[in-house]
Amino acid sequence: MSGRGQAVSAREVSFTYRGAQRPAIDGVSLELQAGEQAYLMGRTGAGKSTLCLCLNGVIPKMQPGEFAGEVRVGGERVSGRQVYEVARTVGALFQNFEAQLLASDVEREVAFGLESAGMPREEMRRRVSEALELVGLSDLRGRDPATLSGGQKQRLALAAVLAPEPAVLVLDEPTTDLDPIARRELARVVDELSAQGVTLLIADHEALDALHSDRLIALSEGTKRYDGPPDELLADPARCTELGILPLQLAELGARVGMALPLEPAGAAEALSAEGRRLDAEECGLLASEAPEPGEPLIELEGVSFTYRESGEQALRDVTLTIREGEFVVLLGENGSGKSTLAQHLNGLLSPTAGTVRIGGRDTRTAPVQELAAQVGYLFQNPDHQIFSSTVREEVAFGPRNLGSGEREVEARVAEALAATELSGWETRDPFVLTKGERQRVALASVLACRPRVIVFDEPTTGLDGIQQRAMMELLARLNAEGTTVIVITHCTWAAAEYAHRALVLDEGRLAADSSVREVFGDAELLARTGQVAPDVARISQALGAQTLLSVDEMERCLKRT
Amino acid sequence: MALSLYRHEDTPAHRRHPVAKLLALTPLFVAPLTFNDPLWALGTLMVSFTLVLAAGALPNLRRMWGLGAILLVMSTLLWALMLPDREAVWRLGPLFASPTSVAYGIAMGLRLNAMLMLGVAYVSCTRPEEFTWSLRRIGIPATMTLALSLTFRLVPMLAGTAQTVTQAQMARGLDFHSGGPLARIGRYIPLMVPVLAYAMRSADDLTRALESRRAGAASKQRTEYYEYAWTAADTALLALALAYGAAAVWLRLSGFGEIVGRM
Amino acid sequence: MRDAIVMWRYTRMVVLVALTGAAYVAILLPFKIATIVPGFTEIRPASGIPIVCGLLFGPAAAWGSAFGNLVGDIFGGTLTPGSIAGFVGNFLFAYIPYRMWRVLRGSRPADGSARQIPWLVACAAVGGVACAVIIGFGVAAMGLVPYPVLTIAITLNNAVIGTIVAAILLPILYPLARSFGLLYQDILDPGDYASSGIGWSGMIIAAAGSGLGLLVAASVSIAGKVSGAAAPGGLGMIDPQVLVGGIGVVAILIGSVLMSPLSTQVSAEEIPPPLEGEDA
Repeated sequence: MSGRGQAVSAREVSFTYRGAQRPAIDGVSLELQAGEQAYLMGRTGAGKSTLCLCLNGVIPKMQPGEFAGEVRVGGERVSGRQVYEVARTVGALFQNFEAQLLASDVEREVAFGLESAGMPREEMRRRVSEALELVGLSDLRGRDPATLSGGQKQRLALAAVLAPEPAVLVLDEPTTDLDPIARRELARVVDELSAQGVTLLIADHEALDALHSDRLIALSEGTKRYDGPPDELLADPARCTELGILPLQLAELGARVGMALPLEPAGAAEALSAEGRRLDAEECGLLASEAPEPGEPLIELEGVSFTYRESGEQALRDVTLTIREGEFVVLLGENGSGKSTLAQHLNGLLSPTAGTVRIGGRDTRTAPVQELAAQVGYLFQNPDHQIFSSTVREEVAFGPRNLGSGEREVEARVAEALAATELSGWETRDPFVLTKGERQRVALASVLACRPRVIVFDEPTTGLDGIQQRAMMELLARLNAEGTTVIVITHCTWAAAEYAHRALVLDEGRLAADSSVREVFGDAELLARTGQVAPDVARISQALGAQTLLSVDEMERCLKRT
Repeated sequence: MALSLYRHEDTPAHRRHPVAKLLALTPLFVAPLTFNDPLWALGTLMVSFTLVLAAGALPNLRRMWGLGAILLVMSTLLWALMLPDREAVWRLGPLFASPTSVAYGIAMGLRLNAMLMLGVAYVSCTRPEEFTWSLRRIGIPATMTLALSLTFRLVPMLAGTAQTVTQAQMARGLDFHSGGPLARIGRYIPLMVPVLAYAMRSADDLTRALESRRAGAASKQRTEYYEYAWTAADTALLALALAYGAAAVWLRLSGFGEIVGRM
Repeated sequence: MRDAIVMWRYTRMVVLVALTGAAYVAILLPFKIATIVPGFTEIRPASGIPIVCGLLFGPAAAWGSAFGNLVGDIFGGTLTPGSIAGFVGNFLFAYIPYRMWRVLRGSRPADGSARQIPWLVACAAVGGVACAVIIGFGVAAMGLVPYPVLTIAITLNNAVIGTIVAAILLPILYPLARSFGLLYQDILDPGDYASSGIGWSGMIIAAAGSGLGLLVAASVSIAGKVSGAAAPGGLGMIDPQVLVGGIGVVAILIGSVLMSPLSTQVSAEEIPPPLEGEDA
């Protein structure tokens, strides 16, 4: 698919979207060698997506705005060429992969671009087979894409991009909606492509993945701020934070204890031991006893099973658990393990097919929607699934109005919820045009305005950059400290480990574990069985022969010199 | 979310050339339209039912029997009361009906069901992709059939969105099942806006995906991934359908199968 | 109807056709307020979509509503010859409000502000009634349902419910469509959608046709049966009310064409692939 040499070259590229005040990217130059695998990182709004769009010719061809500079792919200028011509050399997969699927049939989806290019049928068949084989979807030929899982849909979209056999592949945030298994599957495909000599540019927020690439490029406010080996930047936590990249735990730990640690857990434990550092058992023991005392039972599930009527799929099997006041609970498990189904039982959106769910003592099957909404707030993963008003104030006032509050009461609750989410002063803004992180805060405010005792949050960190992720978790921790019970579903293990007290692990609809986060992340066998990965600090604390530690803070506190 | 009524089976109906099936639909629909005698209408219904069986569409039909029954009852009722028939036998205030009008209503109900069955049989054995492909083959411009197949593709995506939106708003206390019709309209706004906003947000990505795959390119240069060979069976299907439609028209013109004549 | 043809050159318009159609079905199928005629017509809030999308996306919404109705019939298992009437009716359900707005308000954008409500109601009502008359006529001409039944039921749903929903949705969705650059004015060339000089006469003819169609339906159902009239339905038979409805349909079609940008330069065979046009 490639020869050695320059695959992509961008020179002094700038682009300002029509109507925007400042350029999205400003004088960015970039050269990628054939077969190179580069990561593109930076805050939301740093210009990553814009740069990706410049490389595949969408900018300036289709996007209204001001373009300057020059992009060459395989030695040829991109501007002036049709988007589909460029697409044969530069394949691009964007975050919203659902909107890149165009057909109602898996094979046809992959063949789509080939048909319009006028490729002979035999050649098309070969390429469709190869592309489906590569992404691991050969068994699903003939299926309707609507019936595939999220991860499968994404790999299908990738297969369609790969079918014209592009020499360069641009992936814009390809892993955000995926569970750890699907991420691993995608990583396998990416490595395979690299091995075949495809040049890859991957925009992502996950520093751990970037560590394994050839090169890291970081953007900030539209300009290039770093371009070099990944470990050099990732070893510097202060610079990472400045660029909006969530620092690696081991880099941060190294900085705190004044040591240059290997960035992967395998070598880090040895390095610490060699330097004469050990974990203080007494201090570690204290940590375990610091867990907050849970209060009154709020939500009680007894022998809950649930089967979806349309598909006949049994999503929950005999789940019994109690959520108590003041807890911070994380729900872990693979996609399809029943996490969302369980979460939707916690506020009565679903009623069990067997067993009972009681919220504040009331059976959810008989309690009215409003009463349950007042007790348990539920936030779906995508804030766009609930925003419908033209001002932030109206949006946040919707819940309390449904619950029958008077106008003065509504006003007070809106003010309180906006203050809690740091959105005071935004009352008259249009929520539709805010950034994803801001929209998510509006959605959270709109749930808080109902003054629920419990908040259930499905994937609070998805689609946010590293810094926004931390800010969102801090916000939830503060609400929890002020007395709100918090339940989150997340694939983000560091967030689960650092912020939650208790973990519920689901495995094919069964409750595989219900204990403290510390115990769960310390149980290697359980993690392996349920497709979970412990954060780096947990793994090195175990390697050092101590109890499982959950955050860099804890590590720093317990590390002693011998 | 799966919405398509297409059934993954391998019946002779599934194997017919999509163009043959599309063209056969017209004469097949003509036959039920010809008769207004309930017995003859029942005859066309039986033909349709046979086609349902041939297409492996019975499970789909079973899901719709309620609709079919309601249509039959409503049709009988409506026509019985609205068919102008001066020899009314039954009167109730301003309403009147006659055995003829009732029979006519039953015939129309059977006609509706016969046509519904044909539709169900067709969509059960023909993929949306095959439907749009056959439209292109009979001369509908590629860009239009592309938009139609994209519509098929996007319905499950937006229906899934609509489902999530409904749950998200219920979780904020929206109860849209209570109250009168007018009050309820307002409660659908929080459901409709996010779906439409999501659709608009997807427009750019879809446009890019289409452009980068040169979708809808001029038909001269495009090739087709799927190959459908026209066989003798396809010719036979078309011939039979035409014969059936023509026979029905001829019979009716000869005075058979009518209880209410022409003007 | 030059606009309805040249729009196929623009990929964004093609996408808007599919999105309007899919949103129409996705909201049509699950959201139902009440049943008007069991098995035939329900009150559905989705009837606001062709109106709103027509005012925002212009001709793309017309095709979208038509495609959506067809796809809804296929997914719902209700594909019959009546689907053809549904196709034409739903096309005009979006097309007429869009064209009428241009005749009545010129280039002023339909942003849904309170002052615009009378205009919006006028445009939506004619579009809704026209759709009802066409479907009512088509279905009655095939002898499926008495003419007044569907005409009045669909009018109730389209013109009344659809207008209310559209009036609420438009001020929320207009700023969004504008910020995404999805208004038809953002995508099409002004020459593609400029009204012909006789737009007013077209509007009057279309409105009169809709009014006539509805009036016949209403008078028949109010006055009871017209004595002496032959039965509708069956091959080659058309009863007087259906006949008058048919005159209304012809007027609606002629009026819609006169309202549209007229040009003989583009024919359906010339529809180019979307790519070449996007950068024009």
